[in-house]
Amino acid sequence: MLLFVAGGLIGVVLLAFPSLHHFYLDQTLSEALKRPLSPGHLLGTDPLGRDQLARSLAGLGVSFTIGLIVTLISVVVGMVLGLLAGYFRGVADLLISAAIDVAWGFPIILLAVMLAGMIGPGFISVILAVALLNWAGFARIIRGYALVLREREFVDAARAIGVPSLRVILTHLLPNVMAPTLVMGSYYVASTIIIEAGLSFLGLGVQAPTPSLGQMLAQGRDFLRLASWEALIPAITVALAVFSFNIVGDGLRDILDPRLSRPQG
Amino acid sequence: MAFVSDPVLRGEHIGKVFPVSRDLLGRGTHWLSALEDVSFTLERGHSLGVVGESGSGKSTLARILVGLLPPTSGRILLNGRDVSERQRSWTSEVRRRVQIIFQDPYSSLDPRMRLREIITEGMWYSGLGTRQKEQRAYELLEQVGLSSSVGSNYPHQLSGGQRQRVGIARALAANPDVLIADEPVSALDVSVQGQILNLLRRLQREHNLTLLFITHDLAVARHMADSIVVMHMGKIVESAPTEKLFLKPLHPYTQALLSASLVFGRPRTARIVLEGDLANPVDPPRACRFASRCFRRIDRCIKEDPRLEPGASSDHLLACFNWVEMEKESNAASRAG
Amino acid sequence: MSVETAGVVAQAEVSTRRVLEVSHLTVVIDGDGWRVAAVDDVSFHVDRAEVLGIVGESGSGKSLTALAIMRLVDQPVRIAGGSISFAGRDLMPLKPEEMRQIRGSQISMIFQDPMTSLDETFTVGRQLVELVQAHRKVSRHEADDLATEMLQRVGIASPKARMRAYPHELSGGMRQRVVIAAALILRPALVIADEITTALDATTQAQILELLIELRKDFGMSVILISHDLGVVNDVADRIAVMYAGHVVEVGDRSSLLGEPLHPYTQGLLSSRLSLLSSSDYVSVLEGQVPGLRNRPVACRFAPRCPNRIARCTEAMPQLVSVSADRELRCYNPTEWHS
Repeated sequence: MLLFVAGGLIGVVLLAFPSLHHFYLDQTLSEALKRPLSPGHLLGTDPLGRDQLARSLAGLGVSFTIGLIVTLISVVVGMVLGLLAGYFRGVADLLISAAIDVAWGFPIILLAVMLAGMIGPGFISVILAVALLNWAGFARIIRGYALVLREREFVDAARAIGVPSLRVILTHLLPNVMAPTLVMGSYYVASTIIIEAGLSFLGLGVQAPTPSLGQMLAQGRDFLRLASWEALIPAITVALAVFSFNIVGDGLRDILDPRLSRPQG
Repeated sequence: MAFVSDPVLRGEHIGKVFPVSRDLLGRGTHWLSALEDVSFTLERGHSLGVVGESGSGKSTLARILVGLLPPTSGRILLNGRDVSERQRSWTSEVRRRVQIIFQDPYSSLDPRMRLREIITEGMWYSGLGTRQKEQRAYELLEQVGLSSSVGSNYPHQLSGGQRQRVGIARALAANPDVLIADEPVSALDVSVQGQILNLLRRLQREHNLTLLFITHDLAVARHMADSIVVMHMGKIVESAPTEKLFLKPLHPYTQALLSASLVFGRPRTARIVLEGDLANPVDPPRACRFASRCFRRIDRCIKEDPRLEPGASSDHLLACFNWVEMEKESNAASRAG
Repeated sequence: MSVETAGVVAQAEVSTRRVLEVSHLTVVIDGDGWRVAAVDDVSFHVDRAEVLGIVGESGSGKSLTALAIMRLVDQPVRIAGGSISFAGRDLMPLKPEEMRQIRGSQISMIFQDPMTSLDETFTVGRQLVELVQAHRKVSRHEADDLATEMLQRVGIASPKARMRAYPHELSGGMRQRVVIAAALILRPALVIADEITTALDATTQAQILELLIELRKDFGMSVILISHDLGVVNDVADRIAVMYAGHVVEVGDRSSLLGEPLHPYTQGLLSSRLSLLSSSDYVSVLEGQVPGLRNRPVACRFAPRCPNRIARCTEAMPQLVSVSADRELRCYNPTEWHS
């Protein structure tokens, strides 16, 4: 149930994102730093007089978009490499596992800074920075699944029939990892949102004037005494975003799990 | 017995070892001997029973014969052609000729595939169109005693016995020359075992299938096999036509196994109960592997490894230094049964 | 003088002749919007020094019955009705702590798979000693002696050395012997053995059954032997209860039940087993399969597969009734069996 509510909200935000464009860009300095629940500004305004509600929603949109794109890349790359490594073992596994270890341990901030230096900070560099490293965790888990699945008798049966390896992976392993992939994917989006927020907090994310929650948080830090809501609102928004994707993940898991491990009647 | 020998499958001195530990360079230092010097001949239309307990190597043999595992030594000849190259180079043409029915009906079917897809996968090499493959799948389902309408079901909707029927249908779909059944009824309820055995028997008769039937249960082997090979710790200890084996088991292990299987009608006092421990299958010494538990052990048994040789008759082979015909005992068994 | 004869661990005293009385036991499984009685109105008894064999296939409820007696069932499985009486004492109202004291020392259970019944991280000796000390006030040294002696009793060579072995160092047969040792070390009055030979090879199975028969002679405990294999039960049991789809369908003295079975299911099982042993071409079979938990027939659960089925069988559930001094039967239309 909650799954649909969360899913619905996410969908709304994503769709609304582009059209909010006017609202969050409108700077009215005379209206700066208004409190929440002031007339015309439900969540108040930022130091430059821009409406916080619009900015938050827009920031959410940015987070969701980046989260989804990065996760999509991670899932595809991670799944392909994880399945290949787990099924074929040997040299392929050694190489891919080495790559996983490197990516897993590489400091993301360093990479973000490097990319920002090379191509300038912004949308692309954030996506690249996170995607280049994020796939590793996914690949590792999928590799684990592949290792287990390849020992299952139905895989043996397919090989005994003479089905070539790549086809075995596509027809037997892939469908059997789809369910956990979907669940994990949702959780991954959530964690990507946090990473993105962190990067933009440091100024490495999307650049002004496009709002991003991390950047809003950074801005709000300067006004913690005077106008604490400037920091609180983006913080709560990030938390809500993460929460909603976790709920989606939980919901998917509940729907898919019983089918995965159905007890023998 | 065929006048013209037409061996579909021959194993010649098949051996398989697995490394159990490696040195720093990754070379094996200790080896588990899973199979040693296993030779057999399977004639067309014939049914060969391979009987053994766990650790006998029977499942390893099955996997080697189906191309899932390469033998360490020896040859496999399919229709006279040596196919024992590295398993990965078994062409699909070769693979489809030897098909296998697995023991566990719960893990041998992909839970995410519909039953008709599982069966049509067996025909993937055939070049038939989808429509034709599905048609054949429905026919096969009927042949194994299921209604063709279950084709759109998933494995979890079927019982163990029904799933095993699907496994049989899949194996037949590939139109194999040889069917290897690896303990096909061991995981099923007793009341269903008979159904599956009867089905296999009937299919074998109708299609003149060549069958290699693996089981730990001698009684089951008696039903399915024309001749039987008894395995113990990777070696063949006795080999004979079925009725000869049951009337006159010569190897002490076969005698003990028979004794343990035929529980009804046999007074407990006449039971053979083995004493002693199993030998270690890692780096086995030159000796009989059954000696540690054998009730007919003599000195020679722990110094030499007996070879498989003709015993009571030319088609009855056994590997033992001290065999004796237990005539009285085994006749009593066949009367009670 | 062994520790045992010093009276440290005495045979559990059972003053009543009836060691266990199970009466109308029902165990249900609570599912998502459904509920099924996996053990349905099951009644049987075990007398002192008697071996009761419970025969049934998957779905018969035999294992759950054993777990229920031991009160080892947990959500979503629960005991929904009936009574379990041990040595005249009703077990149902007992608190968990009281039940814990009974388990292992007065009633013990041996499970099917020796590969998973032992804790891999402790030595065999440690597990036995801990078991003893949990129930009796004895010193570590005394417990050690008891354990070593027990290992010897179950036929393990060099027991002192084996005490220090870890389970994974032992073969399947030896592990099962250790499990049996643990089950008997406190001399319980009742031992429940659930498919203890199923995971073992035929030759090892023969050894374990021999052992069980011997130990029973020495220790005189009552045994409930659960198995799907009629041959195993034929060897050891005094009386046999046959279960099908949650019900007890026939109970009787071993030789008369196996010689003249009345229930069509029992007859089918026997025919199947015997024809397998003969050299006939086709095996005599029971058509159909055991009904799943959730699609059981409304009246007699065996009716769909029954060669003796009459109209009444699909209309009303037959009850378990005594048809002679030592036979109970749940069937409307039994016929004579021709082997």
